[in-house]
This record gives sequence, structure tokens and C-alpha cells, in this order.
Amino acid sequence: MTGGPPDEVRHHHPEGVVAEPTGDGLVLYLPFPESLHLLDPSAALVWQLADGRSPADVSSAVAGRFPGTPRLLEDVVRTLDDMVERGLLIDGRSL
Amino acid sequence: MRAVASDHVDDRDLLPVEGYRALGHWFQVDCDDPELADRIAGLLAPLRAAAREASCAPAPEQVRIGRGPDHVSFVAEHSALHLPSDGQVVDHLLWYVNSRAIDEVSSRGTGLHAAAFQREAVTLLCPAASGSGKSTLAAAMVRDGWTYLSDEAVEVDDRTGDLLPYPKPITLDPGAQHLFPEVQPITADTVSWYVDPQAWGERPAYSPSPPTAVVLPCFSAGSDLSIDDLPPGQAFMALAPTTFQFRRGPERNMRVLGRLVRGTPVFRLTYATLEQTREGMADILQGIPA
Repeated sequence: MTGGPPDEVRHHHPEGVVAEPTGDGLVLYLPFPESLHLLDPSAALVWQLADGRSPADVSSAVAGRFPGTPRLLEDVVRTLDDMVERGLLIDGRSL
Repeated sequence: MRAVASDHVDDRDLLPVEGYRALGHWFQVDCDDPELADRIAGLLAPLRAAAREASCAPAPEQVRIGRGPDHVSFVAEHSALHLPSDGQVVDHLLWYVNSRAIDEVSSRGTGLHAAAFQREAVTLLCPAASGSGKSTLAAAMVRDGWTYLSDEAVEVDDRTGDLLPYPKPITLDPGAQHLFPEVQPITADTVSWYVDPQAWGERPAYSPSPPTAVVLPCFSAGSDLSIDDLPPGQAFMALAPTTFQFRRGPERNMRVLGRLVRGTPVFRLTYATLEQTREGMADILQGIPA
């Protein structure tokens, strides 16, 4: 967990990241350290929505695309935490 | 081997061979020995055709090869050597041209470590790392009637998606030579055989095109033939490591690969024998629209 109430945390895309849709997801290129990451469609949606939004806002936006999904906020927070750990997102508190 | 001064070759003795183009790298080879000059001209002949199509190339790099009393000198922009035999000069020249071509393409475009072929309306791109059997596959495909684009590298045009060929001689290493006895070179002074693709006869000229399909050849000793249809995301991840110097142009390379996997079927062909490769290719070709 990134810690703190989900609505207080803001994530951002890392500098220099390049995103390219593949038709069945999204590939991210990170220059430092150089790496490629393949995201499935739902993770891609979360990543795209996460730039500057709180987890609660991301979750609301995802809910608009996938209504009725149980424990959505929990899943979104877990996904965001995983992306921060992999360097795909910057936790706003660390800026 | 030892370095030599660049003025070792006497300009007055030079016989101009031709101008050549290798993935945009424009060069000329001057050799003062007529016999070796003829041999080099024959090896580089497919690149000479490409060079004639280059309308506004910058000044070509000059490669000078000179016969000494007990050595042959090789002098170029990034390499100056004394070599003990013609065979080693040929080895070094082809290695040098290859490295310069790959450096050139990766500085301004998207190049893939790949073999490629065309027949009628089908263009196949076969990216793979060294040692995956690209050259063996290339020789087999050309023998079967395909037009040769490369056994080593191609550029993907950023605007059109067309493959830009690099028709260097097909390099057959010792482990594959027994499969192609009909193209054994007359002069046996190199470890690898450098085969003119026209050794199997004339083929139609390449018609620029994006690939119809991408096939990732994967040699696996003792394995059964298998063909996996890769989803686009997985295909992207498999293709990226075959891109030369990805970090030199990540935006462009991401765009080119993204377009490639969104619009082109990508297969992984696992094989243990050349016959399995041909069988697998036939299966793949049956399943793709021409």
C-alpha cells in the first residue's frame, strides 16, 4: 500500500515514459532504468487514468466503464501500488 | 593483426570496384588486386543494385584494400588492419559493412535483427537473435523460390511500414553448410560461406511492402514443430529485443512496433529441423490472407 487515505494520494506518470497501444493492452517504455512493461486492458485503463488523480477518482472513472464491479476501489489501490513498485507511476507524495 | 597507417594503400594502384548501399550506409570499396576486387564485387553485388537507387546519398565511406608482400591491408574510417589472407579480408569486410549498416539504421530509423522474404503478394518478416537460424531459413526460403530481402537486418519505414531490404550475401555457418551443398564456394578460405542469393537463380525484384506476417523462428534441439499465434501485446514484447539500439529512438520504435503488431499476425515457430521450418512456414502461409 502507498499508505494514507486513497483520496489524498496523487500519482503521476514518470518522466520520459512512452506508451503505445497494442490493441489488446498497452506497452510502456521506461528510460530509467530502461525497461518495457505490458499492461492488460484494465491495468492500462488504470494507468492512463492515474496521472494526477487520486485512487478514489480513478476508481470512480473505472466504475463508469465497468459498472457493478465488486471491491473496485480495493483493486484499483492494489494495482496502483503495484505500478508504483514497478516504477510505472510516481507516488505524488514522493515528489 | 596490427593497425596500419591509412596511407599504406597507394592511390595510383586502386581499381574502383563499385558504390554500395547497406541500410542507408553508403560506401565504396577500392582494391588494388584485380582478382580480389572481382571477388568482392561479386559478394557485394546485391548491395550495388541498392546503391544505384540511392539518389542523394552523402559522400560514401571509402574502404581501401591493398595487397602487401605478406598481408592484405584493410583501411576504412573505423578500422585499419593487416590481415594474413584474402579470406580474412572478406570476413572482415562483410563484418565491417554489417556493423556500419546497423549503426546507420539505428541512428535514424527502426531496424530489426531479422530475415525477410517475399513471394507474390506475401512478405514475411522473421526477427530473431543471432544463432536462431535466420540465415539457414533464408537460404531455404530463397532456394524454394522466395525473393531475398535479408538474412540479418531490415529497416521498417516509419511512414509506410514497408520493409527496406538489406540483401547482403547469405552467411552459412559450418553447421548449416551440409544442407546446401549446391552453393559451396569455389574458394574455401573462409569459415562461413557467403552465398549470393542469385546462386539459386533469378527471383522477382522486391516490391516494397509492409510484412504480411511476422514469424519468430525459435530453434529448439529435439523439439516438435509448434506454431503459436501471439497476441499483439506479447508479440510487441517479443519483437522489442530484436530492435537495434531501442533506446536511440524509443518514441519512433514504440510507434513502429505498435503499428506492426496491431496490423500484422505474429507467430512463434519452434522447430528442430529445416524440414520442420518449411512445414511450419507452409502451415502459417495457409492461414494468412494473401
